[in-house]
Amino acid sequence: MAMAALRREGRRFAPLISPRPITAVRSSPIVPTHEDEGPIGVRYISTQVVRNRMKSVKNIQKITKAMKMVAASKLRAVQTKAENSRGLWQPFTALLGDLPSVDVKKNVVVTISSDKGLCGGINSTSVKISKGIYKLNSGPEKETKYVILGEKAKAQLVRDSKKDIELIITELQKNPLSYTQVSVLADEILKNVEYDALRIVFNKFHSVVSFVPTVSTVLSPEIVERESESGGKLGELDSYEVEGGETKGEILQNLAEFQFSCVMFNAVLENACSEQGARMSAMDSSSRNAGDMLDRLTLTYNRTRQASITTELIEIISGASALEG
Amino acid sequence: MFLFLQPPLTRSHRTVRRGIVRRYEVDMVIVPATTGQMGVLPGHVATIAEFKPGVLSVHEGSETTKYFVSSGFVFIHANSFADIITVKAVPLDRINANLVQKRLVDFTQKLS
Repeated sequence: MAMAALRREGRRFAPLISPRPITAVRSSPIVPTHEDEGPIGVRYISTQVVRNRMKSVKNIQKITKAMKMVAASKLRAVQTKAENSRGLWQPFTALLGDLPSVDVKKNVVVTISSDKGLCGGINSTSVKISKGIYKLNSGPEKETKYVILGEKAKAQLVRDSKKDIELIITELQKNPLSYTQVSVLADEILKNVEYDALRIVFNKFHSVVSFVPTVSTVLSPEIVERESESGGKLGELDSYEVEGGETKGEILQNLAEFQFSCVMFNAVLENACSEQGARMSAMDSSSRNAGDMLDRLTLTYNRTRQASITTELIEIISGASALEG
Repeated sequence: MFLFLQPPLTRSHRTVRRGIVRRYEVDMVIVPATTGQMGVLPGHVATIAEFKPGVLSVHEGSETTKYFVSSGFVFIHANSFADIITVKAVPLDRINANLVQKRLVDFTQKLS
């Protein structure tokens, strides 16, 4: 009460004596500021702006922390599945090899990406690699087409490669990933797209902090025949007798399709794991940044608050001393 | 399912569903190939065979374990290693015959 009375007194006299408090140097009376203005000349420095910023930054920090937890739990769920599925394509690779350097006329690049964002740079790296493969395999008589899984790659590739996109598939992760779903997908792709070699681009999950962009190559049966005849890595294929079916070609066709669906299944799972892991680390660094920002804002807030208290004190004291003197 | 056949046969099983990778040495495997039941012993010639849904039996010494497998492939390599890859492999003792019959009837009805 007394303080308020003194303050009022000080207010009356402050403009006569020393209207410029020492700390309020940021603005001059001529230039309008966003600080609160009391009766003529007296300035209250507002902490409202800083307080609002602090509140919003704190909320953002809470949200990103929660997102990190969610991503961690989702990662745990998918990780076991992905590790189990690794055993699937290994026998195929042991038999048929993975030849990324094979030279074919019709390439199809299957880019696997996520639907949701906020997962770091994994989608951009997948797209960069897909474009790199496209450039690598361009030449006379050669054509490369894209098959896109996931919204993020679609957004990036539609911009400049629209005419080369054959198929776009999104909302893959609406239902938990299962082999049946992926085999239907693989079927669609094989039916609608002509290919000599399929190159699947995805992010392989090595650990929670490391995701390596990888390319798996699946060859069509004709190319397999061609490569095995010319010797080299697939040369031993001929030594295998093929049982059943009417012709060797038919069995090889089934084999290639099965291989494709197995490799796709693994690729989709690994990419899902990588997505969750990348999101975890992105959200983690985001919360840390928010924390740093909050610290800086708190310091500014305290400084502002103390400055306004000092201003008031000076006004009161100068008013009081004016009264006495 | 992967089966590695090594003298004696070694097998490793791998399925799509569970990704069970089991690798062990066995004496003989009988696979339900499309051309009929095929017995695989160590020293079998290198083969790629497709198989239709059926019963896979693994003979290990005097024990026999039977699995029901959906379709898949078996690669028999020259060094007596065999890889069996299927979509599903269920040990026979986990299958309930009555339930299967009932479901079969249900699905046939739904199809027609």
